[in-house]
Amino acid sequence: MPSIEGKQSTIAHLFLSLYEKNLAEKNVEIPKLSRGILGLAVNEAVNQYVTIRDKDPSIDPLSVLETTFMLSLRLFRLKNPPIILVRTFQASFKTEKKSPYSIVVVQPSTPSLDQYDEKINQNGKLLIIKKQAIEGVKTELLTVIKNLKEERVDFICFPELYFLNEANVYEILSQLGNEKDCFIIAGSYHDEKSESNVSVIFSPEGKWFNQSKIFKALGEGIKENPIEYLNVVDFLNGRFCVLICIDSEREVIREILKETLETGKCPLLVFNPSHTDHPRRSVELLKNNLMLLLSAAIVFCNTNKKGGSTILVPLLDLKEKGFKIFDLPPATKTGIGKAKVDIELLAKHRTSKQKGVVSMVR
Amino acid sequence: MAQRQYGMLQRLHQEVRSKGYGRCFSFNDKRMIYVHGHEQDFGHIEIRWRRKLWSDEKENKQMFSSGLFPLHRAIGSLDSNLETGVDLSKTIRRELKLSERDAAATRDKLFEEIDQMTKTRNVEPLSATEKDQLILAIIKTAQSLSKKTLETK
Repeated sequence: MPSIEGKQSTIAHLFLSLYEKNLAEKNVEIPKLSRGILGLAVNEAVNQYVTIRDKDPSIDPLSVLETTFMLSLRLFRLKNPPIILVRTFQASFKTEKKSPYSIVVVQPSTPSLDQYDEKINQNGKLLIIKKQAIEGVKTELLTVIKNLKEERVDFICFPELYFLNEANVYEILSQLGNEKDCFIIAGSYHDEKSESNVSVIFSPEGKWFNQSKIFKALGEGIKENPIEYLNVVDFLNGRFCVLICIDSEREVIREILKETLETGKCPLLVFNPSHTDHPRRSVELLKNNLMLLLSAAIVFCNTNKKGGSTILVPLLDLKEKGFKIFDLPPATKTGIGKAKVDIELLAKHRTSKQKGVVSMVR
Repeated sequence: MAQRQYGMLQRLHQEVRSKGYGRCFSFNDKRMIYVHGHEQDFGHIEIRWRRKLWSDEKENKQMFSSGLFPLHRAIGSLDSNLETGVDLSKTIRRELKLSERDAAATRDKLFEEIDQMTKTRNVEPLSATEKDQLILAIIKTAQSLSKKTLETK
């Protein structure tokens, strides 16, 4: 990663102050890293303008600047991380729910890898659930919902590429969120139209919003945009965010979350819906990159082929098996893992850790 | 004087309407304007719109003391924008909320950086007007980018 620290030019400062002004009204923040990249892009655009203008003095600065600025952003996206903006959503439980929160991780048996159609595009390939597998996925989803009917659930997480982008699935899940008064992280799906990997998050009020995957995996056919969003949900007693698959492993995301830690806006819960053949490696990275760094609980949800879905917590009195609360094995049947996580305790731990009073577990 | 200001208000009103953003009003006693619209579309005119102002006396007082601009100032800056080009220092001063002295210093620094760029690239230096135009283009790009960013996601 190139160095983007250091003194910013007055041009970049002027540009960023104005850009930030409008975003701040909508609860969107620009982390330090992204500010650096935007600053470099505007400097590059101005540099390009003075060169072009030398050849044609009648050229309009606005049109040149806008075009070259967007071009610079795309070039920076190719070489460097994207501009990531942090956006905060307000959503809360309908009733007054208190910590510890009950988290359910679902490791569904369908669809298996041969139940996806591969759609090749210029970026790579997209995995779309086959038409003949749709009914099976829906039936299983309804069974899972039925099994959860009786107990208290506050968060439900499904794995990556599990979500069916169909109107009645939205209905089923928003109704479930509303009935059970819980948040549902409904896995994700490859959207052919926008060429993106989108996770759908349902709130207890029955509403939903999306979190797109920021970085593409090797061979994945998703588009990489110069500007991306990292959505953080503020549910009054805490915050959570959803990082799809390898997003959680990226240095930039880690640095940005570290910045939110400084401003006190860091999520206490990070959901990581995945579709990986190497869950052990992922869990190890999650532990070192996010759990220990942020003092946050990490919910890792994988498909049941390789299993390994777990919840990681950094506190001694919360863990049973190392730093994992449970560890779902690979299986042919649907696996469900449940655990209670005390967010308040985590928040206290984070504060005391920041003050340097308590040292980390490991 | 009052007639002249009324004429100015009419012109501002037309300008605002032509861009498709609501209405503007004046308070006769305080000579304030309120425009319903998007701030960035009016460049450097400070625009506020609060329906409550018309009915809530308390909030009126708060607004006056919170530094809403008098009509003649707004009209003046609109005129200069339309006819003679914009005073860059004033724009910087308002957008970045700087003092007059700091705004002038920022403008000088911006000019200096642009000069440095032309020097490094070994191209013809820009005239003061061209530099003004370039910086205004940076301001507009920043404003339109933030608008686009919020719209597209």
